[in-house]
Parts: sequence; structure tokens; C-alpha cells
Amino acid sequence: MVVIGRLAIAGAVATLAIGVWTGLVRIGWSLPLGSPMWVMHHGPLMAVGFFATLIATERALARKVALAYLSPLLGVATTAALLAGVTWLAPLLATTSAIVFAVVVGYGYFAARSIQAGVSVGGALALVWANALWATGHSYFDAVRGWLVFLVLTVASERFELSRFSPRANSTRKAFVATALLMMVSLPLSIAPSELGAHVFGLSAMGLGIWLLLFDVARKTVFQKGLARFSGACLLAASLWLTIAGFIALTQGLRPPAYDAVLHAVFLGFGVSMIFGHAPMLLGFALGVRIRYWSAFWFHAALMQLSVFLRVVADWQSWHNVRPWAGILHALALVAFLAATLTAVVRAKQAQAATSA
Amino acid sequence: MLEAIAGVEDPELGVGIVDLGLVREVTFSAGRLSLRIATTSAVCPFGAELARQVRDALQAHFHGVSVDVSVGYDPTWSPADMTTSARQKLGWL
Repeated sequence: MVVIGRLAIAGAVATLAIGVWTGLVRIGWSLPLGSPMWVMHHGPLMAVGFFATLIATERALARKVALAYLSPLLGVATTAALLAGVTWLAPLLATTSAIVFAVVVGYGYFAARSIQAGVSVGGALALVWANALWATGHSYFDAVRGWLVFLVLTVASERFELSRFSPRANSTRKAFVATALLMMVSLPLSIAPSELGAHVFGLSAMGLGIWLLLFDVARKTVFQKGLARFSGACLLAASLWLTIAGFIALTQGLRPPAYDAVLHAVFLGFGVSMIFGHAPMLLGFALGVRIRYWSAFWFHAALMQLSVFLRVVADWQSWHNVRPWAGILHALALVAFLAATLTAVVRAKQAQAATSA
Repeated sequence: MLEAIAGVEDPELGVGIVDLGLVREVTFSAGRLSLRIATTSAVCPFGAELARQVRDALQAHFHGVSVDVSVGYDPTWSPADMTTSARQKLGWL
């Protein structure tokens, strides 16, 4: 089953590469594409083919239940369907993947009955919601609200779980739950013609971002050394971007140009920063090696922060000539991340072989 | 035994699992050493890797002893299970 997990991660990474490539074309760069239609699918490629597939893989590796691996495999299949032009099949595969994921997460809730598990179920249901909207003919513009909620609640629930390692008042639990519920409420409100759902999402995202900045254990681990320090810094940066994204959505809604800023602040600033912070541990586990801290990790993390800052400012100031360069920096940060991580994996395998000899 | 695995750390917290209070049960019987360690989250994917590191550390320290490490989420864990050193690092003191 670990082999299936590795294949799913490989599929997610390949989707990331294609998704970033289509994003660069979408933002104005003239690059070759297998099909001009791929540009239209940038959103689901990133949200479903990459993020949802990667998260589902992590959950499957943790649960070690065969059914759990079906979700990421269907996520990879969604990417294949989109790229092959079988666009009627892609949302069906994505919805099925989300339902399986929700079942796995739901089972975890009944086993643990914790706040973390409950909020995680909320995130999973948001993914089902988003993909079901897509499958019933709604636009990506409608579905993306659910994709945003899925990513934020899924990640925030895990951060909440770990926050018990550092001091916080019991009242903070209620605040977290209330904010997470508010984010769920934003979904049905997003169907209305008004921007009310976007503003509610913004308020709740800002609330969760501030909560994490105040209570995430990363506030303490950032003062440790090595991987813990690096991971803590990435997590805090992610929470800051979530707060900023929430502020933008609260005050501007999700219409252009705020739409571009919010999406990239959440998916890149929040989501990718979280991935950067956890990748050395998660990949090490998936590949059966112990990846050591390497100072080179800071380069791609810093470059991603700079690129998201540039993107958000360019959107805010309508600097249309600057936004494409922000996209280039996003891509360079991801390439640097893959290169550094691959190098660290090779080193870890060499060290493991030397120890075994 | 705890000294042998003192270097096994939770990768994200940067604190040893012994100091975190995650070593929940230890038994030694008929030449077999069995440990149960807890994970920091119900959805923590690193449990198996931590178990592997614990197993490797113990087998290196106790030659000829069979080692069995199990891992699982323990909802009864509380900050009081941490050592003073861990509590200091994580802001409790």
C-alpha cells in the first residue's frame, strides 16, 4: 500500500507541474501546451489533482486502510481525464474521490470524536460540495469556494490538534470551532447571487488565520533548531497569508481583482507554505528514509513568500505587467523546492545505505 | 532503555518523544522488549517512521533482544505527561 501512496504522490507532483505550467500560460506567458483547453483547467488541476490528492494520500498513509488509497488514485484519474479532454468524466471521478475521502475522514471522527476530527469532516464535506457543484454543471468559479474551505479547514484542523502542545485557554477551543462553523456556513451563502458568502468566508478565514498565529505550536517551535525551526517558520507564514486572504475576501469579496489575490494567497501562501514545512517529514515517511534538515530549504520557502507578496500587491495595484513575473517566481520556488527535496532524499538514502553496510 | 531512544524526536516539535511523554507502555518478557508509543495527532502519518527509529535505536543498544514497537493515537495524553525540559521548550514554563 505504501507503493500506491508513492505513486499517488508522484501523480500529484506531476499534476502540480502541469498545473503550474497552465497557470503561467493563463497569466500571459506563451508556452507550448498539449491542448489549449488545459489552460481552462488550471483551477481543478491544482485544487483537486494536486492538493486534494496529496492530502488524501497523507491520510491514507496515516490510516493504512486500503479503501483510503482509492481517493488519491481517483484524484490522479481526474487529472488524466482533464488532460485527455474527457471533461464529462473528470468531475464524476473528483466527486467520487471526495466522497471516499469524506468516508475515511468520517470514520476517523467516529473513532476519535474530537474537535480536530469534526473540523476535518467539515473540510472533507466542503470538498464533496465543491466537486458535486462541478459535476452538476456549475463553473469553476462556484466550485472554488468549496475547494478553498476544504484546504483551510483540513489544514487548520491538524494545526488545532497540535496546538495542545503549547499553552492556550480552554475558551480558545470554542473560538476555533465557531470560526470553523462560520466557514462552513459561507458555502451555501456562496450560491446566492450576492457576495455575502465571500465576505463570510473572508471573516472566518481571517479568524482562523489569527487563531493560528496566536495559538499554533509553531510559535514555539520556530525558536528550535533545524527542521522544527524551518517548519515553524513556514507554518507561521502560512497562517499570515490565510489572515491576509481573509481580510481581502472580507473587504473586497471574491470578484476580480480580489479573486486572484485571495486564491493565490490561500493556495500558494497558505497551502504551499504548509507543504514546504511538512515535506521533509512526510516524504521521508513515504519513502522510508530520514530526511535531514538542510539550510537550502530556506531558499524556496523565502522565494515563495516573495512571489505571493508580489502577486497580491500586483492584484491590489492592478500592475498587470508585474503579475506574470510573480507567476514565474511561483514556478521557480516550486522547482527549487523539488530540487532541494530530491537532493535531500538522495542524501538520506545514501546515509541509510552507509549505515546498513 | 529511555536513554537509548532519547534521540528520537518528533520532527515537527523538535522535542524527543521521551520528553514529550509519548512512550506510553514498556514491557520486557522472555527476551522480548515491547513498547507502545503514542502519536501527536490522530491523523499523524509519521507514527510508523517514529516506530522504526525507536526500533533501530533499541536494537543498536540491546543486542540480541527482540524489539517490538507499536504506535497509536492516545487521546489521554496531556501536557502534564511532558518533562520539564519539554514544557520549557514549548512555552509552559
